[in-house]
Amino acid sequence: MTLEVRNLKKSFDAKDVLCGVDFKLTDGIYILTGASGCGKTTLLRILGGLETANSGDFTKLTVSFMFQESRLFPWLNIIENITEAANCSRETASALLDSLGLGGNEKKYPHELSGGMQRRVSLARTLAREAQLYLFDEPLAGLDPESQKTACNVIKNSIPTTSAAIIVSHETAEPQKIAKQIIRLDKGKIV
Amino acid sequence: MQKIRRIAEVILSAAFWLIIWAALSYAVGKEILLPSPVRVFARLFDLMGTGEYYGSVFFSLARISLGFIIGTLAGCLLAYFSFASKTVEILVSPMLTVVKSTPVASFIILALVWMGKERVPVFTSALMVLPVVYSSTLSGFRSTDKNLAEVACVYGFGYFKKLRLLLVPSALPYFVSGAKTAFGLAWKAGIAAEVLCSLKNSIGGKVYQSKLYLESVDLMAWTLTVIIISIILEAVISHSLKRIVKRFTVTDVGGDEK
Repeated sequence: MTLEVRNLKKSFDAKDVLCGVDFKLTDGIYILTGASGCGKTTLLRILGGLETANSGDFTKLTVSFMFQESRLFPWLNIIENITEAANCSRETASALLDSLGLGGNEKKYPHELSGGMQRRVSLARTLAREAQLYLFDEPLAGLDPESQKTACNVIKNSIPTTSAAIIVSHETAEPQKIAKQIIRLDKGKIV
Repeated sequence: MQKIRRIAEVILSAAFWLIIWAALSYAVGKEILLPSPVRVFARLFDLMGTGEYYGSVFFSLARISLGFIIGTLAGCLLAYFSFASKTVEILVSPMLTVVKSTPVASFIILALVWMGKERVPVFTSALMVLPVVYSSTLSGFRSTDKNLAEVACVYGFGYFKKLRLLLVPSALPYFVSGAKTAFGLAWKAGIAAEVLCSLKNSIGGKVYQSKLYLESVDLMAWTLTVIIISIILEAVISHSLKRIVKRFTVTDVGGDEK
């Protein structure tokens, strides 16, 4: 699996957000970091097919995406949120929930969980999907230090060896331990 | 405590209007113009002791319910196709404006020319339901959360999965609200159609016969039947749909920012 991004440019209302992003990565976990507003989320959204770049090109891969917000379906319970979206078995979903400390919450609805728990369900949903490229937008935001550590370990153990993962994170301590490489984005360019 | 207070309020309000009715009837002094509530209720209980009464209620309910189901299905389908295609919406919109603006009596008379009178209440009810269900369901489809739509997109939901997990649940509370209003309209329009068609085995037919023979007590008793059934149906529909609405109106999906 190789992801190649070539000269990716994106602007919103004449404001340049990405100014020619180039990078190439193979399987493994990568941390994408940079100051707020430097274009990290925009880059992830383009790679996830949610935004169109003004110019440039990248390898099209099957993607699993974790948003900055939990974005769970309020009318589905926790297990359904994972199995229905990620197309996985109940066993896979339950195992992921257990590893993230959410065992026993399968039948609950999202509004019955705290914000941190919803984030972990969202993480489980992302990891439950079979994909070539996993994109995580601030997966550790809103989690306590212990949960951050657990989340990083679960990410490390769940990403298939033939896939790649890009984790956008301001927190670098825990993600660094599982990362193959750190990619820095500054003013819309890789530095 | 609040529930008891609410029930007491309803009973007192009903009693107040019954007293007004009795006083007016006494003042008018002619049963043919305004019969007393005692006479009307007594006649209603008499009617309720006959099989014919229940037959009329059953067939009216069956016809109007069939019209309601047809109108609901058509309204939902048109709403979906209008949501999916602007062209369909442009084509459908004037037709529904005409349906909404045309007096129901005109449709009933036209329908009498077009089809057998047994079918007119069904057709009229369906026609009353269609624009209401269409508008509310279309609003529901349009209220679909953009954040969840992105989840559906990025997780590669197919056509039916998107419909089942995203569009239908989003539209359901709107549909239920529209359907509740539409049933009331269908009920009234359906009875009106039965009156104008003077259908046998129908509430409307009985209302027509009472009017024909100037039997004001019967007329009021059958009208009371219409009102009571309408109240019961509304309560039953509201109660049975309350849980669905409650479940599907949870809107916090945890996603405001981009």
